[in-house]
Parts: sequence; C-alpha cells; structure tokens
Amino acid sequence: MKSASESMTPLSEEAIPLREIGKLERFLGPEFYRIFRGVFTNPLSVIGISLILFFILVAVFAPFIIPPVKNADPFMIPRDGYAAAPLPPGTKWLRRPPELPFWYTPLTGSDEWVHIFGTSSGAWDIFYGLVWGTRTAIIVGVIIEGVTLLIGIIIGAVSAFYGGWIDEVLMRITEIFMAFPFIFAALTLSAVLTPRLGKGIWPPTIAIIAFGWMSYARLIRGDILSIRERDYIMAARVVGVSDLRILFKHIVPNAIYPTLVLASMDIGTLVISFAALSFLGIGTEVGYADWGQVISFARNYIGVFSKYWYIIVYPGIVLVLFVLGWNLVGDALRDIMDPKMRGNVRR
Amino acid sequence: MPATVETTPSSNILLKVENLKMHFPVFRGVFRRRVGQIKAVDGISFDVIRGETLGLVGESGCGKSTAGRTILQLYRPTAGSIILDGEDLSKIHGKALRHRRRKMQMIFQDPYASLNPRMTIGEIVSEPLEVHDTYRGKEKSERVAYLLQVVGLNPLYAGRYPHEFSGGQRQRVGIARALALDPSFIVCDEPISALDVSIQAQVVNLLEDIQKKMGLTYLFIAHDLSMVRHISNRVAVMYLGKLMELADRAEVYIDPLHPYTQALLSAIPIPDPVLEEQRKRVILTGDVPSPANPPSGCVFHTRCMYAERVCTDKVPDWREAHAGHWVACHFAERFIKTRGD
Repeated sequence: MKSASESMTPLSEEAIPLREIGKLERFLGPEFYRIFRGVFTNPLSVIGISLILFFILVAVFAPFIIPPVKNADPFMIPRDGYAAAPLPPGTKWLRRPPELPFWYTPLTGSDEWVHIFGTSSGAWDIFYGLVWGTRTAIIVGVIIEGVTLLIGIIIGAVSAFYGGWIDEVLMRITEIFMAFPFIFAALTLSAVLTPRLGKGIWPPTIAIIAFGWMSYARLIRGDILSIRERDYIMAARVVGVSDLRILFKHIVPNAIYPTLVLASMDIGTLVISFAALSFLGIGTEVGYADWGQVISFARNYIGVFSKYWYIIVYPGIVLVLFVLGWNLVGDALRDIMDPKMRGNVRR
Repeated sequence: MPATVETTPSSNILLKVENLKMHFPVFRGVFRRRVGQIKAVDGISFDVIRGETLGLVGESGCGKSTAGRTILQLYRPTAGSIILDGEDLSKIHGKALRHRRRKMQMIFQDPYASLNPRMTIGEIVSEPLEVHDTYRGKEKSERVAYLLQVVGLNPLYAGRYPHEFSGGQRQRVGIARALALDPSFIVCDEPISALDVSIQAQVVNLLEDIQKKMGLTYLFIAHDLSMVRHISNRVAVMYLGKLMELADRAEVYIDPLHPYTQALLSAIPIPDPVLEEQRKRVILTGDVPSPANPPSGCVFHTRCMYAERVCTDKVPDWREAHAGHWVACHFAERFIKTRGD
C-alpha cells in the first residue's frame, strides 16, 4: 500500500522504469540469465568457479606441468626406488625422473628434478600423483555425475509422468537402494566387480553410479509432480500438444533446475567417494594417478604426522579445495534458485 | 423484457452437454483403496447456442471450473456426452481428440500461472500453430504478429518473456493463444477474476470485440454476478455439482425461479445508498455440503428456506418451467405464480 504522501507524486514519476533487456539475457532466456548473472556476481561462487577452473586447467595441461616418464603409462605414478619411508619435499629425484617441463629450469635455475611435494611411502612422487590425479578426478567426476544424473532424471521423470503403479514400483526400488549405507554398498559392489572388470577406474565408477542416482530421481519426480499441475501444462494440453512434447518442452525445462543444483554440489562428494574407495584399496591398481591412492600410500605413516606431514597435507589440501569449489558453486546456485531470492538477484 | 428463446433449431446448437458427470475417486491407505468419490459435476445438461455467451456462475467449489475442463476433455468424464458440432467428444481419444482441439479452446483464470515462464510470448502464441502444423515459416510469424495485434499487444513484444508483462497483458497473451487456431468455442474460466478491477473492463471488452469479429461462442465461467450479467446472453447457476437454473439473462436476474438463485442475487450490492438500505437479503445459513457426501434429494435442501419433506426425499427434475427457463426445484412454479404474469 502506498502512503498518502507518495500518492501525491504524479503517476509517471512513481512508475518503475522498464528494465532494459540486454542481448545476453535475450539469448539465454530469463532463468538461465538470472543463474548466469548470479553465479558471476556472488563472491563465493566466483571463488568456487575459479577453483574449478584452476583444476580444469591443471587437468588439461598436466603433461606440461609434469610430463610422464618416457615409455610409461602417464596415469601410473612414477616411483623413485622402493624405500618405505617417505622423502621430504625438495629431495633430488634419483631414479628415472620424468622429463623436465619447460617451466622448471627458468623458475628454479636448476636442471635436476626434485620431488616437489616429496614422496610418499614406497617412493611414489606426490606431485605427479596430484597433478595427474586431477585428470582422473575430473574424468571420473564428469562420467559419474553425468550417468547418475541421466539415470536419476529418466527414472524420476517416468515415475512422475506415468504415475500409478509404475510410480509406486520405481519409487519403492529407489527406496531399497537408499536403504543401503552408501559407502558400504559401493565398496561391496566395487569389490564384486573388480575381478570381472579388472582393476581400474571402472569398478568404483559403476559402484558409485549404482548407489548414487536415487536422490536425483526423487528430487526431479517431486518437481515434475508439482509442475504437472500448473495451468500452463493444462493450457498446452488444451492447445493439443502431445504428451511427449509437454514432458520435454514444458515440464522438464521447468523442473530440472533444482536437480542441476544438487548435481553440481555432488561432484565434489563423488570424487571424495571415489578417493575413499581407492584409499580402501578397492578400484584402481596400486600406483594409479588418483588422489585416493596418494592418500592411501600415507596410511602407514599418518601416525608420525610431525615428521611426514607432507604425505597427507598436500593431497588433503587438493581434495578439500576441489570439493570446496563445487560446493561454493552449488551453494550459490541454490541461493539463486531460491524463490525468496528471486527479486534480489533479478534487479 | 422477458424475451424467451423459442425452441432453437438443432443446427443452431453448437454444444450439447447431456447428463455430464465427473466424479473423482478418493484413495486412502497403504493399498490405495478406493474409499469414495468427489462428485464435482453430477449430471448436468445444457445446450450452448452458436454465437452466444453462456454464463456459468456458482460459489467456489461448486464444480463450475471442473465442468468447463470436462467439456474440453481435460478430464475424461465419468458419464454423459459432450456433443460439439455433432460429434461426441467423450468418445474420441488421442490424436483424433488433439485434432478436435482446434475447434475448442480455453482462457485461464490466472495469467501468471497459465504462461510457461521459459517461453517467449511469440513461442507461446505460435505453439498451437506448430502443433497442428497450420502455418509455417514466414506465415507463422505473420500470424503471430496478427494475433498479438488483435488482442492489443505490440507484435514487437513477441521476443519477450511473460515476466516482462503485467497481469492484463499476460491475459491478452493467453487470449491470443486461444485464438491462434481459429476456434469456434472458447471456455473462459474466470478470465478476469485474477485481474485488477481497472483492467477487468478492458479484458471483458476485448473478449466481446473478438467475439463479434470472429463469431465465437463462449462458456463464461465466473462468480462475479454483475460481470456475468454484463457479458452473457444466458446464465446457468450451479450448486454442488448440479445445475439449479438456466435461462435468459433478464429472466435469471429479474425473475429467478430457484431459491438459490434468489439468494445469490440478493447478495449483489446496489450502487445507490437509498436502495441499498432497502435491499432485502436472503441470508443462507450453513456451509456448502461436501461434494464427497452430497445431501439426499435436492442438494440445496439443507440451506433452502422453502425446503419441505419432498426436497429431502426426491431429486427435483431438471425441467423447463416455461419456455427457455430451465430449473431444478420442486416448487419452481410457485415462484412463477407469485410473479403473477
């Protein structure tokens, strides 16, 4: 309600000026633009995006940051002997060092490789493991997230759209999957799959997918159920739009955003789960460039933290930053999607 | 002016609704047992004459919106037939039914909810054209521009999203969408009740204009009695899933035969303080009974001041009390007599 003094001003002055709509907004559409704008104006999400971007750059340029040892599988961490005790950062690399990258000599003034972050128990190079492990993390994160999301969306959408006993059956199956404690279920399935598929990234990937899709299925089902009852869906039906087109043109584009937010927050967690399986020795073979492996090498020496801190601190920092990056972006997305925030972000 | 409609030739009847019933089942418990049903629409019959506006009024929850949606086959009716242009819509399905949608359209109540927020208004208005493949390419965009012009919007707005418009403008977009396929029959489901009073008149005038221009027939669902009086040729009154009275506008407003209609009309305020003070109101006691468990006999007997024994026992027939004036009340004739004509 307007107060009496305000109503004295002429109408034209009181009116809110029409907001000019830019090319980018027109191209992206109102919702995408709002998200886009929100993500790039919220300071926390800018930090998150920078972190993610940093990891992507590291993954892409891994061969330039630390080239693989000649004639070796680049995803296998090179080891400098077989010593059980870790070596501190800066120790000279004695046996079969990788080629020197272009940045090394200009930056350090030396032409001898050192173990930049030291070596872990078993003389595995930590720096190499972390840099190439970023590749593994991103590949695994994208594959797992993409497939889990797809499975979740399909199951949730079918369940919500057809309803009735199909919905009932699918949702009960979802609940059965949810009833398993995630890490134990993934561990067991991964252990079962390993002898069949061989050691590698596939057993843990499949195991995490198998027990990770349920929350997406439930979330999108709920959103579709609520969108389905909106007037514009009925309007589309009056006009004569087919069911399939209603589902994919009207319902899914309006229902999918919360699920995408959840997915972005989950990438970090998935990589942690993958690392956890690796740490427990299930999944990738010993020496595979993967953060979980690097941490698992430290297992026997964690007790002597004051002396061998570097075997746990460096991989720990990397994992924390990676998860933090995705969580910050996910948090920002969640805030932007919050209907109560709509007004604030739009203007 | 008691201008009674003479028995209309059947070719003039665009839509014939016969004994239409829409019951929604109620499920409860782990095994989703069917424990009852909501009788939202419980046996209504009426004709809609080509080119007229039939007003459908009633309290909220009386089933008037459900009736409109069932006629358009958005809900499949439990029983009864809906004959549009000689074809029973309740008997056709799938693709054939989607094809018939070109003839019948709907305008929705809430202009904020009835437009997909992620589509531009150009996309919204052209969707019917795409789905039925009636216009393509350049013709399609010309058609969209024409439609926007007809409803009083600048065609340059086609690239804008619904949130950039006011409520009245959005309702115009909804009207343009309904007009896209050149329908002959439009269900207006409370098209103005969500709008500002200052906008209501504009939208009603627009609806009247396009009706004249395009020869449309409206089923105008509303609860605003004065607005219905303004726009309708005939008025139907609904209560608890059943029709109570149907007659010419003048008949209904001047000589209502059903006690419920009389009560409704007595609630309209008169914009004259002297007359308003003398206005006699029929105050209804009690609430509308639940449509899950409607009263026996005449559904209105629980609140009717004239109710007698027969009203609890026997469902009154839906009959023509005199030419063109349909009513469902055992004592309707009594009210004709008191009028003394």
